[in-house]
Amino acid sequence: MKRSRFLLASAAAGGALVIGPARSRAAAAFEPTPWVRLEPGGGATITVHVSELGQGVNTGLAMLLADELDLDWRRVRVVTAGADGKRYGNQGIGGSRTMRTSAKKFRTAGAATRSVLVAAAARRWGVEPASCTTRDGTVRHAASGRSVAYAELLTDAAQLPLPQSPALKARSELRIVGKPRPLLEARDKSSGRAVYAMDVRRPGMLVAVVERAPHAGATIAAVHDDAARTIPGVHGIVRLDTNPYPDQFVWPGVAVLARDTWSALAGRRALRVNWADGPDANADSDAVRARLIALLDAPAALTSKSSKGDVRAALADKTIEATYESPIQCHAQLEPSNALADVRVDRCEIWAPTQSPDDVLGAARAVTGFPANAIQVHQTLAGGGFGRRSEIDPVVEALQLSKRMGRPVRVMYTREDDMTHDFYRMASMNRLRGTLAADGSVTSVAHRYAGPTIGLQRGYSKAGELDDEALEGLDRPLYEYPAYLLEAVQTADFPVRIGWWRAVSVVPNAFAAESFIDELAHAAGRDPLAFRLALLAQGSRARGVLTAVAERARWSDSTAAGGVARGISLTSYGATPVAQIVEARIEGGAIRVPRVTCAIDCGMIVNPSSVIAQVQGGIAWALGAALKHKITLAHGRAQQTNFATYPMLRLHEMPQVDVVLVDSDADPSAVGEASVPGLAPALGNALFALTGRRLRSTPFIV
Amino acid sequence: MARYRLNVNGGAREVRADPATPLLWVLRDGLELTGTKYGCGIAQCGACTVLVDGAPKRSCVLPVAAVREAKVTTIEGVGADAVGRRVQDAWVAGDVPQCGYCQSGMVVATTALLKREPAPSRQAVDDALRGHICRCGTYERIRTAVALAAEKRA
Repeated sequence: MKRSRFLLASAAAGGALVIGPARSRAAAAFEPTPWVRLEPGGGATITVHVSELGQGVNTGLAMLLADELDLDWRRVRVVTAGADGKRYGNQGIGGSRTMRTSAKKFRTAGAATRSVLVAAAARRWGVEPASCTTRDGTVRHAASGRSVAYAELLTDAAQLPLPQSPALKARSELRIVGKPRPLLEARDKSSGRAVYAMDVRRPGMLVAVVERAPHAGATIAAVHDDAARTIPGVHGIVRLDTNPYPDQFVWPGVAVLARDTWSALAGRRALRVNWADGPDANADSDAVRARLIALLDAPAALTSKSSKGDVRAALADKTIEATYESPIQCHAQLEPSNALADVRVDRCEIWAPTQSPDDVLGAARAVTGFPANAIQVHQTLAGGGFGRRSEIDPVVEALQLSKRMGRPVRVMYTREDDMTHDFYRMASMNRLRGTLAADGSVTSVAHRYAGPTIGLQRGYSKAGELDDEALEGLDRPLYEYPAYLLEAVQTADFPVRIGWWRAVSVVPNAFAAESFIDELAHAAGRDPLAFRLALLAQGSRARGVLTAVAERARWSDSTAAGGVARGISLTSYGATPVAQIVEARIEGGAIRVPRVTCAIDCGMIVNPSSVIAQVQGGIAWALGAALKHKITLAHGRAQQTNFATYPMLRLHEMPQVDVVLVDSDADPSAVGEASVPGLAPALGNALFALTGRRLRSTPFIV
Repeated sequence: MARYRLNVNGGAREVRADPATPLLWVLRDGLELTGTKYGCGIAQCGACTVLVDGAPKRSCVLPVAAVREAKVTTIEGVGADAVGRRVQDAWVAGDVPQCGYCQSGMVVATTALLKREPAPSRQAVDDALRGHICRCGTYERIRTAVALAAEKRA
C-alpha cells in the first residue's frame, strides 16, 4: 500500500474521516509521493532526500516541484529526509549530480500531484480537467468562475490514481524555476538559528575528542591516561582500535570523553599515547614526488579507450613536451568533521553532516546490530561538504563511543584533527607531448597520467585495469585532435588516505590539458582562443561557452595593458562545459587576480542565483588552490595543521567574477564543481602572457 | 572551576567554568547559544566572532575570566539592534549564505563595522572582514550585502 493511501485509510478506520459536504472533508494530509505532502491547513511540505551542504538543493528541488504543482511559494516548507534508501533511492551526494538525477523526479512528483488535484476539482464541478487551470495552490475553472483551494481537495484527490508519466510544463510555462531566489535557509543562516550537527544537543551528552594515529597504519602501543582522567569533567577514556565498519577507513585512536568540549580538549592535552609505526612512518613529500616521477616514466602504462589514431605516426614539424604537477590538498570545510550518536538498548539516532546517509545507516547497523527501522539518521545542515562528508569516520567513532558509554556522544574533530586526518585530494603528475604540422595545426596529443587513485587505494578498482575515475576531464577530450593517446600509470600505494575533493581529478587533469593547449597555441604562433576554436565542433556546447566568454570579456581587444594579462581555459565537468578568462597581474611579487569572466552551460537553470553563487564559490575555491594550497608530508603526516599554515583565500583577494549563464534546453547538469577546474590553467596561461614564464605546478609561485 | 556572571545579549547569565575556558565554549556548551561557531580555535577564521562592548572579538581565544562585566552580544542578539537587523536583511536579500557556517561571524563583524562607520570604504570593509574565512567563497555577495546594509541606513 502506498504511504499516502495508508495515511488516509488509517484516518478513515479511526473515524476521523467525516463524510459530508466537501468543505468539511479535509481531515488528513495528502502525501501522494515521498517528495510532497499537502497539509489540510493549506501549506505544503517538500521532502528533499539529500543533505543541504550550501549547494542549494533544498531550494532548487523545491522550486522544481512547487512550479509543476503550482504551489504558493510562500507556503512551501522543506524538510530533509532521514536515511531510507527504500523510500528515497540513492541519497548520496557527489559529482554535483543532484539536479541531474533528481530534477525530473521532483518535477514529475509535482505534475502528478497537480493532475489528481485538478481531476478531483473537475469531477466535483462536472467539467473537463483540461478546462481547469492552477495557480498558487488553487484550481480554477475560468468558464464558470469557480475556484477551490488544494487543501479542500486532499481527500478526493487521494482516491484517484496518480499518473506515472504526467505531462511536464513547457519551459515557457515555468513561473518559479528560472527566477533567482535566495536559499530558503538564508534567514536562519544569517541569524544564528540554523542548526548544524555540531549544534545539536542531547540530554546527558558527552563530547569526545580523539587522539588518532599520527599516520595511516600506525597502531596503539601504549596509553598513559592517568593525568587525563584527573581533569575535571572528563568521564572516560576509550580505546578505538578495531573498525566495526570496514567500508569506512577509520584511524585507531584514543577518545577522551567529557561533559563539555573544553574539558575534553583539556583531557586530551593530558593524554599520552605511544604509537607503533606503520609502513609509511617515514613518508615525506620528497619521496612522494620521486615516486610520481618514477610512475611517469614506468613502461607499464594502461591505455584509455578514448585514445584514437596513431600519435606516433603523426606529422611532427614541432614536438612540444611538458609535465604538470599537482600537490596533495585538504578540504578545510569550515565546520570540522563531527557526528552525534545516541545508541540506546533497542534503537539509535545519529545526527551528522553527511554526503553518505546510506553509509551512516550501514555503520549504525554494523555497530548496534539493530534493524534499519530502529535507526534514525538525521542529515543535518552541513557547514560545507566538498567531498569530505562522503566519509563517515566521525560517525563510526561516535556510534562505538555512545554504545560503550550508554549516553549520547558527540565526536568533534578540532581543525587540527581535520587537517591532519583528511581524505586528501591526491597528488598527481601529467606529462603531455604534442605535435604540430608546419602550418601550426595540431597533429597529435599524447597525455600520460601518473598517480594514485581512490578506487585502487580502497580496493573497489582492480589493479591491472584502468581506473577511469582518475582520468575524468581527459577521457572525453573536448577537442577534435587528429590523434590522441591517453595513458595512465596508477597505483594504490600512497602514504595518506585520499578521497573526493571538489571536482577531484578533473582539477589536476584539466590544469595539465588546458595549460598544454596554451603551450601548443604559443608554439604555433596562434591566438589561444582561435587555436581552441579550430579544434571544436560547430554547434557544440563547449564551443558555445568559449564563444560566450570571449564575447563578454572582449577577448579580441586583448592587449597586456597596464601590467594586466589574460588567460583562457575551456573545461568540462560532467555534461557541463565551462570557459573562463582570468585577468592577472603581479604586485609586490604576489599574484593578483582582479577579475574572472566565466561562462557556464549547465542545461536548464533552476535557480540562477544559486548557479551564480556556486560558480563564484568554485572560483574562490580554485583560486585558493592555485595560489596557496599544498599539504606537505613529514613522517607520514601533514605538516599543515590549521589556517595559519594552510591559508585560505580571503575577502580582499576575491576577484570580481562575471558569470555568463548560457541558456540551453539540455537537462540540468553539474554546477557546484564545474567552475573549479578551469581557473588554474586560465590563471597560469595569463601569467605566461604576463611574464613569458610557464608555471607547471601548483600552487603558483612567481 | 569558578562562577561567572556574564552579560550576554542584554541579560545576566550565570555559568560555572574553568577560568581559562574560551568564551566560545561557554556560549555554546554552557549557555546553548550555538549560533557562534567553532572553526579553527586560533583566531584565524572569524566564525566565533562576538561583540564585547561593541567591538568584534574572537571568542575562541578569549578566556571567560577576561570577560568580566563587559556586554557580550552574539549572533542571536545582534538582530535586536537596528543596524544588526539591517545587516541580516541585506544578507537574505543578497542571497549571501551558502553553507552558512561562517556567516554568524560575518554578520556580527559587519554590524560592528557599520555602527562605527555607517558608510565604510572598500578598504574599511576589507580591513573589517579580512580576518574571516568563507570556504564557500561568498565574498562577492558579502561585499554587495555590506553595501546594501550601509545604503539602507535611516
